[in-house]
Amino acid sequence: MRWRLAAVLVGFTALVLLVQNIPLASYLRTVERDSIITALQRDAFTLGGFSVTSLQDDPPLATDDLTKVVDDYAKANGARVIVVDDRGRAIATAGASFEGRVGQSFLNRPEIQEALGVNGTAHAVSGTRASTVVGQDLIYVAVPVRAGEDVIGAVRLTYPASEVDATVNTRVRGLGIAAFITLVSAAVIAFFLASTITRRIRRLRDAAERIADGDMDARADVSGGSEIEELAESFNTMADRVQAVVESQRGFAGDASHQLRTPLTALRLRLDRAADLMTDDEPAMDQVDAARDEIDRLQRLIDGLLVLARADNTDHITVPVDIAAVAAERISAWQALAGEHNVDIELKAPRMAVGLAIPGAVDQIIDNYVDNALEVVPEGSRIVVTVLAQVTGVVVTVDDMGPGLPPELRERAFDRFWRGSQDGSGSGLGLAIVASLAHAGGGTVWLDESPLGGLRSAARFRTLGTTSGTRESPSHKR
Amino acid sequence: MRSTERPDRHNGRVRILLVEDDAAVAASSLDGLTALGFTVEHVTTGASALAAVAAVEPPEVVLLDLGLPDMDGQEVCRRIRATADIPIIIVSARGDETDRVIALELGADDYLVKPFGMRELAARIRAVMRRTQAPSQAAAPAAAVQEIGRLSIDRRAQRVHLDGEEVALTAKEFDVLAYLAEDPGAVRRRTEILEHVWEGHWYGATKTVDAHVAAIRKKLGDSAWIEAVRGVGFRLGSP
Repeated sequence: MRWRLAAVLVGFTALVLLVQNIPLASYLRTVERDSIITALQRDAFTLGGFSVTSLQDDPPLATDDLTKVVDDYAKANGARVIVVDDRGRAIATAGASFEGRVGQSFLNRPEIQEALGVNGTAHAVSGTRASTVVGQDLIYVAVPVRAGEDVIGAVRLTYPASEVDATVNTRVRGLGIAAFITLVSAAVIAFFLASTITRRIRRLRDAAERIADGDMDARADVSGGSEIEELAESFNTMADRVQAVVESQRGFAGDASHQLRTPLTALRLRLDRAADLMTDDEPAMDQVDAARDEIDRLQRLIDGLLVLARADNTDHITVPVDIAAVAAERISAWQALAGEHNVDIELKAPRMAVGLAIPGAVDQIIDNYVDNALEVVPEGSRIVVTVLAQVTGVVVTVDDMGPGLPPELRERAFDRFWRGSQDGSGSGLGLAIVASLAHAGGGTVWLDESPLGGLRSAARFRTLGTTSGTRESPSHKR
Repeated sequence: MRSTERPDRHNGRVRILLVEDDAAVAASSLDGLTALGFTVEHVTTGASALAAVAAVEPPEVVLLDLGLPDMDGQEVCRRIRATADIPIIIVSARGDETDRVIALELGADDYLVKPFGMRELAARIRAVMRRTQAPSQAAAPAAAVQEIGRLSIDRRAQRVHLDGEEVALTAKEFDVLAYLAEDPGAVRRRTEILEHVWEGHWYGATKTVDAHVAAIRKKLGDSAWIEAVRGVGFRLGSP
């Protein structure tokens, strides 16, 4: 955004400069040419004045004085000079490639005809034309030399147009340099201006990001008074309301769970006492035991809800975890139980795979996955736990040979209170907690078809280099 | 499974002060504790609890609920501790680590999170009494070693020997075994084991306890050491 704002300002400045300078350059060119022609005309008349004496001779012949003046002039100004008599015959020439052409006729040159008044009245002419003799564009000035009413000759001065262009170009270049300096200054100013605007927007964005990360106390800076600060103020008002809602909700989940615990305690103590008063062969004993199982389930549900409320809300600190090591440790813990069911648990992992997770999350995620797998796999099959260090993060997969899960149920399995089995066991919170724990650390979870035929339960954890899986990186599009 | 819940002569005449404002929890606790042979006095407010502690014949154990109508349970705990050396067991619906730490820092001897079973409660009461009476009874190091058939459990050193050979158990495995061994033959529910060993810090898989039991069985070389009681839990067996 900063760059875009700066670019707009610089672009606008450039446009203004172009609009101004292009006509200015062409005007400069015209003025320069006109001033050269005027100067040449003045010089031509002066030279004409010098030539009068020579041209009045019969036959006209340049005096030494005239020759010298013409030579000096040509040398000093880089112009070519021809002085012709009334019949177009040169009596004095000077300038590059014009030496020693005295006596030659120049009557075929149109400007000389004009100056001598061959086809009408003699008059001064000036202009530009291509010259086949010198092979380039020429600026010419030809003026008649008069003695009284009679035209007794003409003076022609030519000047290479390229020399005029060079002078003009120098001027235009100066104009260009000035424009460039203006543009650079505009860019610097634009950049700083844009920076101050975007810095305030960025601060606002930082506050929004911190709130999104769970820091409900984050607020935007409202000092200043511009529209951006007004926006910041509106943002803060919104954040206040969101915070209030989130906190009341968070408080509710926690409070409800805590409040449920007290009657549950009484219920449990009553059942303990009831069981205590019975003999082992009492028929009602089964009922009491079943009721105690339900209390256990209820308790797990309440505990699970508390864990979920906590995982969803608290400020999470992620720490680097060697996921390969955790996987190895968890699998060795499950090995014995799996062995009792004649199930083999294999681990495929690199020596080390460090990912970011909130403390204890990796353990619980792997435990839940392995537990779920053990629940469904047939005897004599195997469960494969794989840890893969990828560019996008560290991926843990748990593959089983159980019945698997249809695709439409895989996504829903992470919902709260979703239960895979209908036998009344389980709280339906295991995978929801898995998802919460993973998301809290910036990771992702998913279920897929396993190459072993059953279900693949997977989790991806961030590494130090990768960005959060749930949010876009904040480092782009400033 | 109810062997521990018979009136126990060790519990005889142990006076307990129950500070609990919830009538249902109080009534059921009172009932259960009385049945176990404790003498229970029940109060519902912090003020009356402080009065009872200051009485001529003070209680020997205080069971203190943190949510009281008249004052903060933590404040009651602090004030009792300021005047008396009576063991205090906090009973609370809040089980967060910070809640526990604050209570223990304020002088509580134990912290029990609701909901709890009667057996757990009785075991905790006996445990804090053992600890507070230990100096006078000069707890000999040998007393910490429990012999169950070929198995010996040393709670102080956290070691288990089978036929004189040390069995390498992890800390949690040891805790599970030691908990089951507290009352050999009594069935412990999974929830009880989770509460006792993990203290509510864990919401892992349903079969976390099963996994640890399986590991212990494997290391002891005989699955008969820990019997699964279908639908209930586990108990220590004797192969």
